[in-house]
Amino acid sequence: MASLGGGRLRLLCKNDRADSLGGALPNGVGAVCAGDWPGVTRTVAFVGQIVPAALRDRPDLIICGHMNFALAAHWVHRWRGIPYWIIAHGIEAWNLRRPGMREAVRGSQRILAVSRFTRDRLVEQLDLPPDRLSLLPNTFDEGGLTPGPKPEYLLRRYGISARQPVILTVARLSSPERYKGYDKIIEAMPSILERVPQVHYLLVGKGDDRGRVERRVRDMGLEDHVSLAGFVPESELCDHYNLCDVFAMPSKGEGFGIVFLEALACGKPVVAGNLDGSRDALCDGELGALIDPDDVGQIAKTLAEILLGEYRHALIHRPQALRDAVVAKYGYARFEAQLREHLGQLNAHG
Amino acid sequence: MCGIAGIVRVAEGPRDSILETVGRMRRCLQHRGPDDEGLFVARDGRAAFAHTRLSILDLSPAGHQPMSTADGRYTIVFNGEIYNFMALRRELETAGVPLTSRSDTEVILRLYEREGTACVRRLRGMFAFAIWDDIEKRCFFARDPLGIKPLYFCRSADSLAFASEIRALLNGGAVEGQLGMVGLYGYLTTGTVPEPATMLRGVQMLGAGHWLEWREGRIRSERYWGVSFAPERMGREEAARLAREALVDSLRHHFVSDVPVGIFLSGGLDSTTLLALAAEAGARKVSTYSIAFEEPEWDEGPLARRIAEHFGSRHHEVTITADIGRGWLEEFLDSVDQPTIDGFNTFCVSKVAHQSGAKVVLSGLGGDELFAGYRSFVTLPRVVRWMRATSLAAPLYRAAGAWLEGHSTSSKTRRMGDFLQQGASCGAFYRSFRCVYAHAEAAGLATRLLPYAVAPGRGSRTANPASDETLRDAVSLLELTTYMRNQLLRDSDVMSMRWGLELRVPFVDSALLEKVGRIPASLRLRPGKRMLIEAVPELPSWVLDQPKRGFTFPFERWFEDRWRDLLREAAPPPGVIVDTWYRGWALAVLQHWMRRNGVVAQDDRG
Repeated sequence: MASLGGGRLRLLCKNDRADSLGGALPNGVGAVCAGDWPGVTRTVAFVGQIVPAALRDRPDLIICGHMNFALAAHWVHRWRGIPYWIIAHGIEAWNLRRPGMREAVRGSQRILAVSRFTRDRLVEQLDLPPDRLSLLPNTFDEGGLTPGPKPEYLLRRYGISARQPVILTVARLSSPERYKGYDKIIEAMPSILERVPQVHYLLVGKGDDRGRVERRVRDMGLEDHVSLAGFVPESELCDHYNLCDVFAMPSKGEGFGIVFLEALACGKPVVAGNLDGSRDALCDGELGALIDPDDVGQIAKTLAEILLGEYRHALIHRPQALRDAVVAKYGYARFEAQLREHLGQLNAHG
Repeated sequence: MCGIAGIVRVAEGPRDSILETVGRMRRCLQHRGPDDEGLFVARDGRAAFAHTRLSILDLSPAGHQPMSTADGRYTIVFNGEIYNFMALRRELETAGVPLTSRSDTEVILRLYEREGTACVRRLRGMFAFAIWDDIEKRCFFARDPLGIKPLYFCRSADSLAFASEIRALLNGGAVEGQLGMVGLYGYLTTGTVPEPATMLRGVQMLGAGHWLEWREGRIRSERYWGVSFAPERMGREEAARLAREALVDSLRHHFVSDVPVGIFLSGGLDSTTLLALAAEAGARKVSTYSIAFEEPEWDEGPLARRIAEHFGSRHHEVTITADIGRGWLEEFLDSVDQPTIDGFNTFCVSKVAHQSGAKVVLSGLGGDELFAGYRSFVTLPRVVRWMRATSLAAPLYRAAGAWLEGHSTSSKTRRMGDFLQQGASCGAFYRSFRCVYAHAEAAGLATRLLPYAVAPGRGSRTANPASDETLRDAVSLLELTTYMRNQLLRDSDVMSMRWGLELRVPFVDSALLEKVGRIPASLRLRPGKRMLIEAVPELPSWVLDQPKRGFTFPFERWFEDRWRDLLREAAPPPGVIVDTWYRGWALAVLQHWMRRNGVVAQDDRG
């Protein structure tokens, strides 16, 4: 941020805590955090922080990192005339019902959508002029994620042999997020097993949907072929990507899908759905396989072909090429350049 | 009777490396066939077979395996005995097929050449075999109708490895030893690993009565035979005549051998039946083998001796004390192929027979399943009928069951609680009747070892017989396809083969089953084996009065006293009750087996 032309940046974070964030910030960037507040009080406390801060600091621009705070920015704009931009990620932006929220989004000076899919949904819902929206795809921490051998300690932990092909999904197992498609992979397992008999499916993530997932595994008789890793700390995430042979998340509700970038950064083939923002993350298939997330047969076929090395794709079987490509497309340098361009427009327009 | 192993693969490859692996697997099967051994490798390295031979039929080198057809197209490795091979041989000869040996192996090979997969329906006996077709590059596997002979296999995208014992796959290097959830849970609930699951992830048992064809990494499989009963209207006398004919016919076939055939004599009705009908089946002067104990309430030695005397057999008896048993135990544990809470009895009696020079022995295994020798035949129909009659109270049963399973401090009541939660099905009651650990305990124990796997659900994995069968037929079916198949036959194979001894089971015979299956359950499955007694009037009255035994060991006594320390080592986790010897024993055997074979669970400490 410091390199973006000398502006002053103040960060207001809802879910982080000041002590955890402190070290990560460049000089000159101030932060206010509401992460110490418990539960529902946090949102109230956060709004209580941002509105006075905006009124006091009188910034040139407010960027709402999440659409939920557009309402607050909208009020500030009405009182003080401070322009605000909104970053639109995924599902929260696809179905805006509350009139207040619709007005707040419509009233923003610019919307930065993480994908074409999210952009198009907004244009369609709010009947916005298309030039109000720009694309700013997600980026990821490319330094912390590198290709590597299958980590021994994880092979031991899950009782997987180094020769065994592994399919990985990283997703929260929460009932509202069932659209992530892990169900479909479980359904596809029997036919994948026919062609790739030793294949193992590792599902990383915790949540209230776990009981249902377990029942599904039982009903399908897949107890020996699926492991539920539960919550995995950030520090082990890269190792988990490296444990797998293919990363799959045939989701129907991705605004973009940062996990795809992370898996690609570790040189892993990626399978994603073709109905949502995943298409952007995989550059319309240039970086991985896009499939119909409802078509279990196609999911099975694609995964089996990738694991058997039969899938026809320019990059998918070349780990280093995958990593290079994803860094070129979505690495931090690219992100910074895009953001600079957007902010430049702000200056140009005064 | 033998040990077989092999690998088939999709692509051509170096012959040395595949031979080396198959050779390692063969060494793990040495004990099964001390008389001869052989290796085969296809010219393009796509297939390699190994065989260790125990010579019973055609002792000449013409019976050597792996055996190929003269044109080199088909090669077989075979473990087992085909009892109707003489008839099949004659048939082949009449059809102009040239046969070069007197062995049953060649008969299978030629039958497959002529009839393809349908050949399995022609075979009567116990078998597991693999046939490589070097032109089509495919491999055909089959296992006998009732599952007497085992066949394990593990498959990857480009190959398949198989063997008579799971340890040959493991220690031969074909598979890595990762504990599997389904096998583990099955073991903890039943005391043995229910097929087709195994204790190892990625390894399967080919189902009884199934064949499987492998071709370029793809498989297709079919069940060609299943247990079924087709009752016909008949009277008691006709039923007795039919049962007797069927028994004598089976026995006659089971005496086919080029070496002497002996009988394990337990003092029970089944083994006595074998001895009683031996003369009629054409056997002369058979040898009998039995075990005696110092504990009088367990000791069947004197009774077996009296039976042997009565029928004039050459009798061999060994007394096993707690100390002798203890001395053999280490050797027994090292012989265990997959964990089992049983098998020590067969181990001991096989050792005795082996040391007396026997090579083939008949066992009365299967009589209880066919003629209602177990308590389950009485208890199950009673309980299930009662549950059905009071089905209005089902929600109450479920609630009571859940409470009992969670709160009771007795394993018996916990099992009952497990059952009550499942409703009035035969399968559910049977499971609880035979169960070692109830569902919640087994799932808990299994998840401790495999914390990232999903434990099977309550009541899964046991087939529920069709409702139109009578309840007693349903019990018979359950006994034949679960306890007998997974526990008794598996242990019998592993423990007899440990001593290079061929165990034959005349009661476990598809032809016999098809015949006696025509007798309605109301006659065939009368309590106390009335049907068998009526069919074999030679059974002395003083044998009929005896309580049920059948090579039962005084384990309870030994574990309380001289063997106590054995259970201490595998201490159960909190919340698990060990109030019967076999609950503790199950954990001890599992621990020993995992350590001995380098099998690992999921390791959280990484």
